[in-house]
Amino acid sequence: MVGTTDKSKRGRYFEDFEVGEEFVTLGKTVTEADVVLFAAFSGDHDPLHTDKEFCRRKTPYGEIIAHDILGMVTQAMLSHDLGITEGTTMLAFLGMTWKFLKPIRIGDTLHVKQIVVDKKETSKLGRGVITIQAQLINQLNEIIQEGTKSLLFACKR
Amino acid sequence: MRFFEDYGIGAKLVTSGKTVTEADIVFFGAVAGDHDPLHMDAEFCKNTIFKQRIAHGTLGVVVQSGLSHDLGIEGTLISQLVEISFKFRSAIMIGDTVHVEHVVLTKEEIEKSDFGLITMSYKVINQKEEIVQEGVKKLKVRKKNGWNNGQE
Repeated sequence: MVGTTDKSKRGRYFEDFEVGEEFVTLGKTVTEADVVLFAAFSGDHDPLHTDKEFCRRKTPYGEIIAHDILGMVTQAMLSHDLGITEGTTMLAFLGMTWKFLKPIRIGDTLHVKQIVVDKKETSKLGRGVITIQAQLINQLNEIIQEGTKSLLFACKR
Repeated sequence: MRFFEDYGIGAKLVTSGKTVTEADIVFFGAVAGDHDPLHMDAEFCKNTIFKQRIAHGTLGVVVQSGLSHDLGIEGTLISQLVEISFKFRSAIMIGDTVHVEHVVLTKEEIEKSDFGLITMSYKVINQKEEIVQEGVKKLKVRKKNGWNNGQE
């Protein structure tokens, strides 16, 4: 247990959230390495993500684009880094709806803006559901992907 | 390649399986930068309800996307994800083997377009036939006659 106790207590409790509260994450530049690693990990080696010549000649983008789901994972990573969901206070990630609006190109720098849109205590005492609207935004301030997540948090009492 | 015309309402599309290994979790933790003790700390996890390390929820989403891509359903030039929803039903443990089952729900023509919209429900199912994740996908899929001989 050494070294884990403090870290596991960093997260927020249900009561700590206010509707309308906004969180902005740090940024992350999506590199070619990210796309290569993601292709290896997911097994999705589609030419859209691996073949520059194919992309130049055959696609409206003209260059390699990142996997859609890489954007979703990037928002999860940046959101996790906020620390509000870390450790034992967040009991479960219940679900999410997520829309893909624009492609992500290598070199794009993304960040996530999150707004708390709803909070509801559950029928079971001591826990509540926080609903967060999230937007994945690039360096041109374009919304690339967006959606809503439901998270189950513990209450303090 | 699976075109708009190739989807029949009610059709069931089943992917191959993948065993989620410890290596997947370590690798995903590194790539996603999520080193939460729930995924990384075996000793910490002895005291959780799962009693062991579990896969990241988003790892499940990535695995299902890779399996679905192998089937030609999503993430290709002719078939792109417009929207996905997912609910997490139970945890994926190290050693679990998951596959994805899709059912085509609706087909919608887009007027004056080479594409149509397909919605499918999907379930990520483990070796015990338990649903670990489920949701709905909406895809923009190219019609056969819209394919401008782009393939040389």
